[in-house]
Amino acid sequence: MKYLKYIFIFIVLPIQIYLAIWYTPVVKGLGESTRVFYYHVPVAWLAVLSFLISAIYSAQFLRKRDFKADLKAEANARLGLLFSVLATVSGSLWAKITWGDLWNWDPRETSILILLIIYLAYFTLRSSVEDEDRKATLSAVYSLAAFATVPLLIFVIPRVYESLHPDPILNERGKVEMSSTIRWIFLFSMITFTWLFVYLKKYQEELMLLKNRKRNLILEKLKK
Amino acid sequence: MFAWIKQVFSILEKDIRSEFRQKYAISGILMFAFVVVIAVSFALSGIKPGPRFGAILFWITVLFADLAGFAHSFIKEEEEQTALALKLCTEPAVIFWGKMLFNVFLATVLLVTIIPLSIIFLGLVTDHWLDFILFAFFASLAMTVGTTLIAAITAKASGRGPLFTILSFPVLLPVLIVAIKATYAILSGNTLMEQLNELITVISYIMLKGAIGHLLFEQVWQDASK
Repeated sequence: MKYLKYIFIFIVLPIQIYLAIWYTPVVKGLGESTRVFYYHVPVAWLAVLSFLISAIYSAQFLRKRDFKADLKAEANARLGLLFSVLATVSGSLWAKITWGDLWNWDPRETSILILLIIYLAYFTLRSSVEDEDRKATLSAVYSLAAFATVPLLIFVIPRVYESLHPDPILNERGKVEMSSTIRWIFLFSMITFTWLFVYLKKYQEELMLLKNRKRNLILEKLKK
Repeated sequence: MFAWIKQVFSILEKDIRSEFRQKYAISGILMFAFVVVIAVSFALSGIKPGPRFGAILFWITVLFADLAGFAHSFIKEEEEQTALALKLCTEPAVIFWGKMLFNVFLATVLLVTIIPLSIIFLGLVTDHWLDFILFAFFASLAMTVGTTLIAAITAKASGRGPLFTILSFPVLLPVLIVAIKATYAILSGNTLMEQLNELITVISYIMLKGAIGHLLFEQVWQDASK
């Protein structure tokens, strides 16, 4: 297991960079900006995945009243915020190149923006409650209530409204419509980013738990 | 089941009685809507905004007027320290639905006021008024259901005023987008049946948020009584 980390850093990550930056064929109409695709879609996927994991931890906190779950929910929300900013910025730059404007209010652009605002609202809520127990409860409830909007944002609205985005990767005919080289590089990028997320998630959660332990130790000292 | 519904309506009755003593939420919502519509009309200086901008201005006014008053019923329970007494009276789900019905009442009063104001000052016109009103009611209901749980959360946090708007806005944005699109279509001559996709999205949202609120409200409410 220990070597997996090194395999990822020294083999998988360089291969992904090589494939996405140098090896990839250039799509007609997209030009050199084709490469953004291999980064934009994975970070958008990780923004949603982080939110899902944060909501699961929130539900776990409400069920068991385990404060570690609350801290883990916050850790994943932090990652979600980072990925949704990256997805919004990369999408916006790509939109400028392909559609002519940085922002077009396309349904998918709207969805990721709402996700970003939900994360910001979540952290505003956390910072406006002093009591630890109450902070954890209220933010867990908000996280779950806000997460209930995500299926509507990700799956319903982009399909109800006309989108500038290409067909969903898996469309209604159940087909993946990409050339085989692009498809394989795309899948490899998705796996690489998800793998990277596993490490980021682990370290972010550990960091949050350590910070909390340090804070508790200081508080104990002060009490004495 | 009947007793449960009766209790929900008792909460609604209590809130309406208490509201009409001070008229804080209702006057806040109505004055907000009035001021915004007048200000927009004044800024347009007689130019009719047309169906697209008419729909946008109408829903932006409804959204922010709703946000100005929806949190009040929960905040009042906290400020006047009546939350504990209310908790002793009945189960959390009853309070959730009772408070939500009270907000539905506020939202309906707002619609009854803002629709004539928009006709007069923004020049909203359509051949399908019944469709317009019906859709406006459902979208307004969706906004109410979507914010009741958040109003309860806000009442327990500090910085309540801006916090309610910050927390509610992303949750309500899908409804706002759908509502503007459907209202624009209705004002342009379409019927509600032609905007069935939007209506179904709004009804799904109501059911989803109603179920989530029903399940999670207890967590917030139990904490609120501490």
